[in-house]
Amino acid sequence: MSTLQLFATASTIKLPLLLTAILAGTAVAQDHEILGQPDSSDNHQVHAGHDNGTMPQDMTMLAQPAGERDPHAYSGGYTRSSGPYSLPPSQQLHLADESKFVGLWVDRLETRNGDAENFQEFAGYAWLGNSYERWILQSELEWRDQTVEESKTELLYSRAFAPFWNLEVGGRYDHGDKEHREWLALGVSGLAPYWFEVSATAYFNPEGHSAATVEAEYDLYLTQRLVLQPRAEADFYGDSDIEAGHGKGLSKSKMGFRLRYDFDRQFAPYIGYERVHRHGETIDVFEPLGQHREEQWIAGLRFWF
Amino acid sequence: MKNRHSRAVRTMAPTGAESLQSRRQFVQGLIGGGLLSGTLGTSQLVRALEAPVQGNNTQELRGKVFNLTIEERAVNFTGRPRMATAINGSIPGPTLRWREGDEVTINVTNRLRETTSIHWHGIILPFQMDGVPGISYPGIRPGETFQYRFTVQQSGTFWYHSHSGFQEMTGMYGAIIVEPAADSRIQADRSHVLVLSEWTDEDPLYVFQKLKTMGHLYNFNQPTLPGLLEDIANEGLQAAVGRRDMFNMMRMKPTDLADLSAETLTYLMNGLTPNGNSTHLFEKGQRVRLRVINAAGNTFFDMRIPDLPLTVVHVDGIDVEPVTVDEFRLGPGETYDVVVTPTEDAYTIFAETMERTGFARGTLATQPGLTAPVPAQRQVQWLSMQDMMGNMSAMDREMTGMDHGEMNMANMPAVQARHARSEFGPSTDMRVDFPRTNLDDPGVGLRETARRVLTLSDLRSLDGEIDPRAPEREIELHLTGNMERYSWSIDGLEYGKSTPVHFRHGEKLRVHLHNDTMMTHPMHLHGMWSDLEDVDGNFLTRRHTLPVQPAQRVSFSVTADALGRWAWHCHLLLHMDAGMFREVIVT
Repeated sequence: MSTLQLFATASTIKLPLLLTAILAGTAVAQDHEILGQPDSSDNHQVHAGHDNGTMPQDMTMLAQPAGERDPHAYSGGYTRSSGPYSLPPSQQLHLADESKFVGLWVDRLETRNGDAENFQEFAGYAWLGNSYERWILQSELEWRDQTVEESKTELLYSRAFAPFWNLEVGGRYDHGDKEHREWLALGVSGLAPYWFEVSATAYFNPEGHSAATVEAEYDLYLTQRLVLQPRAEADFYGDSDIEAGHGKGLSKSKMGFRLRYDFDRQFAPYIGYERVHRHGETIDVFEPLGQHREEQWIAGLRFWF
Repeated sequence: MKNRHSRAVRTMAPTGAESLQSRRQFVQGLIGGGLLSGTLGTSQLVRALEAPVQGNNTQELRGKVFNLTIEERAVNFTGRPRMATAINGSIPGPTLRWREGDEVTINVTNRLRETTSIHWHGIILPFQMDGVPGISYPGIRPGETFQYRFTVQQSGTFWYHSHSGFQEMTGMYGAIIVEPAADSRIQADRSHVLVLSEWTDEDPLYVFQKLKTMGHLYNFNQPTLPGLLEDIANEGLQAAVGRRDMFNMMRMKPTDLADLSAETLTYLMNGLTPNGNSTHLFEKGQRVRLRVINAAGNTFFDMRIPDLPLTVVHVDGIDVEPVTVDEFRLGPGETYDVVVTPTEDAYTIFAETMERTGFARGTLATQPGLTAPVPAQRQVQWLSMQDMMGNMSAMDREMTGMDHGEMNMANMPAVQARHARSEFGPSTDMRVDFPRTNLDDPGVGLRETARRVLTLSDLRSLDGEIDPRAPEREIELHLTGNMERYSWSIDGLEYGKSTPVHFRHGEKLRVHLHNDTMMTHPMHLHGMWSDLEDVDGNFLTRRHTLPVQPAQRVSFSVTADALGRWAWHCHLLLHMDAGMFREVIVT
């Protein structure tokens, strides 16, 4: 499957570099420069004449790309924790930017009525961190008759590398009917222009298997509280793994919508509809059960703290 | 509480326009509002509530020695009892009346379970008395009494508030009136203090945490599909989509005017909800001075008194050349004194919030119990291209060589921003390369109106420029943020990652505050005045809190005459705590 190969290629060549750069605190991707102009030093050179020549000496001598200021240039060498008039370190001011926060997001707690049978699904995560770095414990569960049939649990470290984008690394543990699988996870999630929430994650395991999941959703406000959310998800696998219930390549896709009512932005019941398709070799696994192509009606709840 | 309940409060009949409003009605509060009578435990509280001052429940203290006690109090503004942080048992705290030239002593006793502080907003004093925990002093620990002592060198309208965590949002603020040593230049027969503020039933820290998850949590003025269809029908497809395109590309909301809204806030005037109707008395023909203080944590108010022109005479504690307007906008931290000459029996004092979800309301009346019609709320206006892109004519000239005639910007000088290198990362979701410098812009929501609206360019200090030297140097700081991550910073660096800004003692320097966000930030420099200048560098007036509009650059001079370490921050409390904050060191 070409998409998967793309992921695999990207991961072996670019992602470690990307990861290194990000963990070193370098902003790799630049989001919109407001004028749509490339943010090259040339541009700043061209406009340097507009600065009226009034910048202090210490700012013009920076070893920076021309035109970009050193944010510490005005400090005169002072720091907050030392020098005249400073308080002892234990009494210094600390604001919320140095605090950690926690949250719980239950994206989908729902019952799904398929052609053949009903089952329940949960998807959500808990997080701990700040604006740029978070630990995320994420889970997707599917159960019927009070028995969990499939679960996918991920522990991810998420780090911002651009205004709207995070890199995520961690591990995933799948538990199915008969089998369980362990994966390393490497993904990107964020907000694309036009407010599309997207995430793409590649998975690898020590036995040399690979997989990928891509998700996208969008909030369309019908009123201030009635929101239509189209959503699509696709799973890919590098190899056929009949015991775990999937073939090679694109194995499963979900497309549909949820119509939710935001009583407030934290609590929203919804109804929805999704088409779940199995693809390629995976059809062979599900066709005998008549489940390779399903329409499902959904009712559920989104809430978070 | 007793005297407030015994006063007749007539129920307000909704006006036609109001009842037709399709928008959600925000919580207008209980008739009484305020402190629960069940908690009348101390004689102090009873005194505070029974003091018949200025037609509201605020006590006034005068003299040279003041004792303030910070304590938790039960309140009920919305029908749900909550705990608040009160000063001497009242919200707002007592109005402190000082006299210019006096040495005042204020003993502040902390009866909370956490550290507290009081900052004297706009007052020039030694840095150890400034009341910022972690910068001026360690703060006032539980059970402790801290003694503030300083000589009052100025006169006018000021205020005080907690500088610890979110205590200000839970009720810790009050007015300061400093009487001039000589006669006042402002002639008035009586004066009233109007403290505008806000209340949330939620824990402000939880509000902050939720914004970290969803920056638009409280915005119920989102662009909608029916709105798009309506615009397509009215303006055509291209115009309707074009208007949205830039916002959508940038992942910005055109109605992102405030982080909080009436979804969680109830707006107060002198501690009373709109239904509580803070009432202020006058006699017909009197000149009445209204000292308006925005003590809200997060809300810009657009203040007007229908049918009554407002003559602005005093701004941020500085006498200004009188300018008569119908409406003015004030952000958290700013103060405006206006003189009015009412001739009817009752007027509504209407302070509508900038994001148009609610209002604070009071009444100016010849006797208690009278009311006037409450105006309908206006629809929210979208941010415009100039709020996103700054000086578009300069941008066009630079980019395409074309001149962009519209929006009165053709003559605006092209100023090129110098971004800090730390703005090119996750902390900064937009950058403006060519800021607008139009101080005559009243701001979003007030632009297309027949009313006279005050702008920064209208302000002229009566005393002129105090320090006539030319600035020795210039510094440029960029106000930055990321709404999706709910992170606010300066030059892309939150306070925790920042170094101080150093002013050399005695120097005069020029500061350019450049706004790389789509929100208006009221920037408050402690300890020293911000001498506002027009685009040509001419002095306008002294300010302690300067609002900087989206994509705007505001320039001012500072005479660095105050040794020590000082705070400099956005006075939107949540932005401040998120890190839009710098320490200033003067040596």
